[in-house]
Amino acid sequence: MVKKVKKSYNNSKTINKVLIHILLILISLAMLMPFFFMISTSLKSTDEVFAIPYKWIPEKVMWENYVYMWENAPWIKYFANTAIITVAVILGQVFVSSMAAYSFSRLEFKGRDAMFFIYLGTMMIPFQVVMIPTFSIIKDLGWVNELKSVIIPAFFSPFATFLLRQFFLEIPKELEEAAKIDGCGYFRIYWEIMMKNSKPALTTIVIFTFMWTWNDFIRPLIFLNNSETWTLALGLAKFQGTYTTQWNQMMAGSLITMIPVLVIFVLGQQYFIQGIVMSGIKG
Amino acid sequence: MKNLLKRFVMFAVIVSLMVSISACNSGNSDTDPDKAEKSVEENKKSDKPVTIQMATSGSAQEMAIREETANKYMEENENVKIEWIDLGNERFQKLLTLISSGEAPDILYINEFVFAFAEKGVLEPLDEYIENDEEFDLSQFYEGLIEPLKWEDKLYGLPQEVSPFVIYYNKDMFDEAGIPYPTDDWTKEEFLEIAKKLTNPEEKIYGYRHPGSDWFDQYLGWMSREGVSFYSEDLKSLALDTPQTLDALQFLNDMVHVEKVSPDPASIQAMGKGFDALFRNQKVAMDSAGLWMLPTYEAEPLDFEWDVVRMPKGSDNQNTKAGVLNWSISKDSENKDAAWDIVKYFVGPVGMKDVAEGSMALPASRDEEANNIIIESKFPENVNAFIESAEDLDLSDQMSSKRNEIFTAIGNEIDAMLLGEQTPEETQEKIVELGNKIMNN
Amino acid sequence: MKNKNSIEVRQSILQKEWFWGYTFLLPAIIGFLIFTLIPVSMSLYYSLTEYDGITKPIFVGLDNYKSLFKDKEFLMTLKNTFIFTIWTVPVGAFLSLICAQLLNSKIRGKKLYRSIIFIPNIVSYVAVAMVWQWLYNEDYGLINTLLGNLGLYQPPWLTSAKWAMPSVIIMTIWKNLGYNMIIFLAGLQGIPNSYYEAADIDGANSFQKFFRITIPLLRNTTLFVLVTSMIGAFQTFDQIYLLTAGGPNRATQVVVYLIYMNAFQYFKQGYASAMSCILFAIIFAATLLQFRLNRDNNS
Repeated sequence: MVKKVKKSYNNSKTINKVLIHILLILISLAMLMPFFFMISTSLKSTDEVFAIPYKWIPEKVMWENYVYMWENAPWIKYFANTAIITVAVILGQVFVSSMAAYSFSRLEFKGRDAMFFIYLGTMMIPFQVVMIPTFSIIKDLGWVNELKSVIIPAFFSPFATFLLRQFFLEIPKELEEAAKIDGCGYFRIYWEIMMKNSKPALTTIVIFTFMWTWNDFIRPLIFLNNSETWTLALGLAKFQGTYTTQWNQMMAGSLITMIPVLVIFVLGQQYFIQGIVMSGIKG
Repeated sequence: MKNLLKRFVMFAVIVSLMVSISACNSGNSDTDPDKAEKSVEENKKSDKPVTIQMATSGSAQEMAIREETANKYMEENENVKIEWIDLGNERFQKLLTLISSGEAPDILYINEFVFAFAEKGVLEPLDEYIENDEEFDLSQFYEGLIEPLKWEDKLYGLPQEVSPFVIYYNKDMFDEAGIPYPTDDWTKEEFLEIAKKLTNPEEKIYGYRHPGSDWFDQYLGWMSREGVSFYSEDLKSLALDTPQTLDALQFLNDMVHVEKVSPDPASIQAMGKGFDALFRNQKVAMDSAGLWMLPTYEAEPLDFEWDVVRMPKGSDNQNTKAGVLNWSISKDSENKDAAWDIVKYFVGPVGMKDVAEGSMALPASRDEEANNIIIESKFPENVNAFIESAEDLDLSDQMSSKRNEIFTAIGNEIDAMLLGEQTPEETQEKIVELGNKIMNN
Repeated sequence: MKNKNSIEVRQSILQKEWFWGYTFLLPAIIGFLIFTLIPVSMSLYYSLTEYDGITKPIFVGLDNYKSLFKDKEFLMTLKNTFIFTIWTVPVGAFLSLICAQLLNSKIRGKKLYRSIIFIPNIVSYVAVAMVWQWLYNEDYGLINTLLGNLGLYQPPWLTSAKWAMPSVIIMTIWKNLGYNMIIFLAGLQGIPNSYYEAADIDGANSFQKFFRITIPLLRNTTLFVLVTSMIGAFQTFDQIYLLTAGGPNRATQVVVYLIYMNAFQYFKQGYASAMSCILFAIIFAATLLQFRLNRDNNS
């Protein structure tokens, strides 16, 4: 009797799984579309880029687009600048945000929640309207056309702080209490309990910050002046002329510059493992 | 405990570092006016090394043309270094931010906003430099280009290149329909007749593509050819309550909404980035653009025979709009003389030759050597149409700092008309009302 | 004696929670003061002036705000922004949660699926806008070709005022799906397996588990996703700038687009600042409301 029930249960489970796969494959196709589109465009002649009706596969495959793309800008320099900026921003942001998040989520003091909301409010102001005053500050600091103009302001991310705060809130109080009894100070609790139990959240921040900083356009454009300090995203914009755009080369460039972000994403995924917090409690 | 102390010290060091970085840097930010003046004096006297910041924009190919000229200049003037300030493709946004924060480059790259910036008082008038320079001849530039560079009778910029609008047409489609090729002296009535014959609504083939009105130049051109002058004499109010304006609106309406020889502006907008896609794919027979299409058409020849012809004559004239690039010198520059010397070089024979060789635009002056390069290219056959159009430029719409706001609002109303939501008369009424409201604000 | 006292004081400070609270916040506070408070205060001041971005601002009191409430274009733009937000945020969050839930199970190839769903996020809006312009093309686009083959109605997507906003909304949900999915995935890691195991023993089905365990325990994550998506939605700019430029006939014009136009095309920094102050007030109020609702649900 029990066996029979289990079998039918397993059968319906298999059907479910097949349905889920079909659904996921459909979603994936929709999601991959721009990717196919970019690959296809990057290999087309200008004439075919806008062929009507649209062609998925170029009639004449133009690998040389990648060569032209490569010759169009000092990509190695751009890559180095972008890498420096991205790594520095991630380190600084994780450091500043996690400390603030710990304070906002776990420490009791006067004005805490008000300060949190004010900090969160930073996100609610469109950059367009603070751009000129922000640039004035960068100028007063003497940072114009230096990488730190893009790096240091990005440390103070309400997004990362908010995300970590929400995750710190989920960490069971018991862990903290136990640590306190063991004589741990606040820094140890912050590091040993909060940080070590928030790997999925920290990974999320690393992925997002990497992606945003890597692709960031308007801030670097305003704060950095020329190819000495420029980033990949700005280099890509150089395919856009005053009136015309080299779409095939731009797509080629976009594809190449996307690769590091994809790699970080794939690497980051291994930290999405069930039950980190609970293993802490059991131990 | 020890561990904790160590971390705390580290933390304190980092924080104090950050504070000190910001503190000491903000200390030097104030520029010393005395010092600035002194350095100008010194530069005049000697060949001391100077660095001139020069703004630039556009694609890598456009940038290469600028670099070519700059390198030649620096070879001749070893004490001068030109440092690029690239505005990227958000020219106006970055330029405004730089100027607003007192970080304006010595030489500004401005397209259609010389008048506006002159009015705001951030540009150096160039008249004295020109007067003191015997070789410099202002009359070599097309008058239509110089006009909008003046504010209160002083000149605030010099043009580098110009790209007048002409009509690109598909010869094969003309042949097929048995229509003779247009000539430079055609009229807008002839144009409309031809466009009608080339239109085939069932196959979604159009005689002409009238771009959406967010591309001001396109509708402003048709207005100008009807004899519309955009502003009153004193430039303080709009002058669009004229019969000429109504004629122009009527013509646009006939062309797009009544005769439907062009896709409507919403469809054009939705085509987005592939703005010459319809012409390439032979879905439209005629398209209006400047010289910027030439390099791509040269690198990858189109599948059909084509040529260019001047914009058709309107009831009043054969005026043309154009894309332009102008240089100005910042009022706050500490090295104005050096900056002037560079600007002069760029708009002189060497710079103009580089423009012509770049083949993305016309030289803004009548410099013979440079223009011969264009003429002799014979690409396309009637390349002369561009040069002749440059003699009939009307860029007077640029003579207001409220230009963008006014013509965005007007463009929206014209689009509504072309979509059949209002008549030309209603449109004119709204345009006049909106425009005056903005001007008087 | 004195010395001993000060050591005691110091020790007691080091034991005070508020002291550590501020200490941990210190870097964030410094950054906030320099890079946010100063620019925002300046912008707040500009909102009370007539300012073109170049010449000296002229103080005009509340004039900008008064004209804004009479400005039909601004009010219409606010309405568009609300419509955009109301659609993209809940629908987007719900779909992301479903994807996260599906890809948190022991399904084969989940890492691949996750990566694929995340791809649109990595692609810049410049490329995305180009793809969708083609997809949405009324005559030649893939979507209408498919609909035509199925004999269905072919909407004039980007070319009609009625369909343009839905087009932008669909594209936005599509692009952000993977982004919120990742946050939900991270949140799902915090839910102990034992809860699901207990529910299995009680014979709960997937739906019951989803609504009785997952959703309540993801409360903090969900709040985060809703709040940040909402803040993002109210500030939508890129896709509008690149896909529709606010058209056709201003049907997709949103507040930040109008702010951009005023600040950088019309020389009206003061007016643009006033708009963003109003926008800020709206977003702030909506955020507080969400926190309040969340707290009420908790208790």
